[in-house]
Amino acid sequence: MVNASLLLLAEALAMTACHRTRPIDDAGISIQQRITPQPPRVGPASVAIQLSDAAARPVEAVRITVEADMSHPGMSPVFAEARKEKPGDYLATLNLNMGGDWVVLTHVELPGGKKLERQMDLRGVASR
Amino acid sequence: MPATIPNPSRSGGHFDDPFGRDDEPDNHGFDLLRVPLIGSFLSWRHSRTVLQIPVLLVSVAMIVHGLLGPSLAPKNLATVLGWVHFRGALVLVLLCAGNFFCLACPFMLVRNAMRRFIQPRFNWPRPLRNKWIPVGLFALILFSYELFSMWSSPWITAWVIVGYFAAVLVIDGLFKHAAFCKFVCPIGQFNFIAATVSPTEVAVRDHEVCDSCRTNDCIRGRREPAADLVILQRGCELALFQPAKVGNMDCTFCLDCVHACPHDNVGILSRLPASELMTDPQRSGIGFFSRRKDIAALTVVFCFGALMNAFGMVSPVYAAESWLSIKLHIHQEAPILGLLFAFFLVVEPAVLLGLAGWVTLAWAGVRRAWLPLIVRYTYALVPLGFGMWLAHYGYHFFTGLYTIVPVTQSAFVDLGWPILGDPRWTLVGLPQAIVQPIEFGFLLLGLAGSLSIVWRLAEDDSEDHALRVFTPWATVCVLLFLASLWLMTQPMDMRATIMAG
Repeated sequence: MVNASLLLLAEALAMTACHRTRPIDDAGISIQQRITPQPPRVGPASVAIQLSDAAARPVEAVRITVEADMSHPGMSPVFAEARKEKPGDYLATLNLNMGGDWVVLTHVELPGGKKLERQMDLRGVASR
Repeated sequence: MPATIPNPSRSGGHFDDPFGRDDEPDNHGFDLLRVPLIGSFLSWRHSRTVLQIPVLLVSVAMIVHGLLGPSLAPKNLATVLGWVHFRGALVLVLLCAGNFFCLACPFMLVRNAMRRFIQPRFNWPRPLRNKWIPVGLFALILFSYELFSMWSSPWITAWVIVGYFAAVLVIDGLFKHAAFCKFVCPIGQFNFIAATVSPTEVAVRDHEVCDSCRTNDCIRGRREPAADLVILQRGCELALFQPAKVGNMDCTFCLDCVHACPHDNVGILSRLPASELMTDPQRSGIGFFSRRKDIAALTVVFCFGALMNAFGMVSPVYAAESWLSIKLHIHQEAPILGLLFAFFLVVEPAVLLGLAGWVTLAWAGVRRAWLPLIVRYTYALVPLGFGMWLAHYGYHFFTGLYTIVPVTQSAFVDLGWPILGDPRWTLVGLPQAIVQPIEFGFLLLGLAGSLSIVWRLAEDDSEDHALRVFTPWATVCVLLFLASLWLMTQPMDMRATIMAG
């Protein structure tokens, strides 16, 4: 019973750990992000980023960097450069080195120098 | 606030000096006020104001950035300065020097400015002239820190600072003397307790000079000769009469007594850290520690709160909260957290200290009542508690030491004035491999200090059975030390929310 309840709690936590965002910025660019594994835990985490325009066509970026900060100030942030998988799809690997709440910042540089930034909460990264 | 402190010189002799100074010439090894430049500066009447101004400016910057700057805590001055640098620097200065943060308190600068226009009319109510309000506030702040995840919110942090300024202005606008410092301020109480293990204290240089003093300016203040009600230099606002003052409890290092003494007989003197906890003399403005249940309760919150505060940052706390939540069918965080706090700040100390007191009475036959005995030995836990605060805050301070650089750079960039260049977010701090041994060192230092105090108290209480008195209290110290050690070896797990939803 306790195990089942804990499992439910863990699932609930995993659901609240917002791992997918789909905001559309004022330039009509949509940035989808997805982090695996779910639920998140200490260790390598993949951040899949998908850029598309208002017509759902893939958008190429000049450079995408991903930064993860803990919600507590003073902790070491981690950084990763995203590599292109296919047009509009990028993948970065972050090394989440501590349990707790993280905030993932994705910095996108578009052709022409336009820059976009997305923030995503990654809550409850498990220590083990 | 009582200002009528009996003058030992008028009652025929000194108060008992806990360190035997009555039989020796007052010969302290070190007096900070005798150090060239530093001493001259601190002896200057406006030195406190000069120290307070930059801290006030930093506080204003924290408020502005907290309210208007980035919402992400690691990128905001309010949270980085407040929860990483201020706390760490505070405990390190208390360890290495003394209560110099109260000296530079920005709240007092604003309060002094207010008092140029508004004079308080009331005395602090007599039933509240104790530490019970600060005990409650201290526990409430620790609780709120966890519940509202203050460390992760620049906005909340900024409002806490604003609230602090408001509270100071209201209380010291209504009540005379330093009512806020002595009877309310939770940060001040933290500093007072921690400063009992500091290596310096504001103290009389030569007690014989005080014996011949008839003006008592150190507490009364220096008065206009023609008009006694006109104060030219304030005396101690916290009712600490220098000749009878013992230790750092309630001393804000404001140096009013230094400036008021017409004989230049007050200094910042070196001493054996924690020595004031090894004896129980009557202390000016405080009385006997062993009769002050309120200060003992403050010590309990200080020591056990140190463990609770660190416990909130490691993985097992989430398992404990989840277990409680499931068992009690409670899905709100506040009551679960409240239960944990009640256990760690009330039940655990009551059981540990109560048992140690009972064993001491039953085994060693000490001629004291149970509760006064517990109160007396509770103060021995201060070094342990302080060791834990040092380990915890020191960890954040050292591992995040350089984070202030990119955050400040970023704040200037946000202002459209990038004079410090682009933020270097990769600047963090010392590696954990270096910091962790320092943490363990702090914990060991705390254990050594607590055991030394327990031994001294045990010797005083029973020359024949000192070891029997020592053993139960030393056991409590070792248990708390092991708990601290366990906490510091747990994986960090800092979550803003614990309960799902």
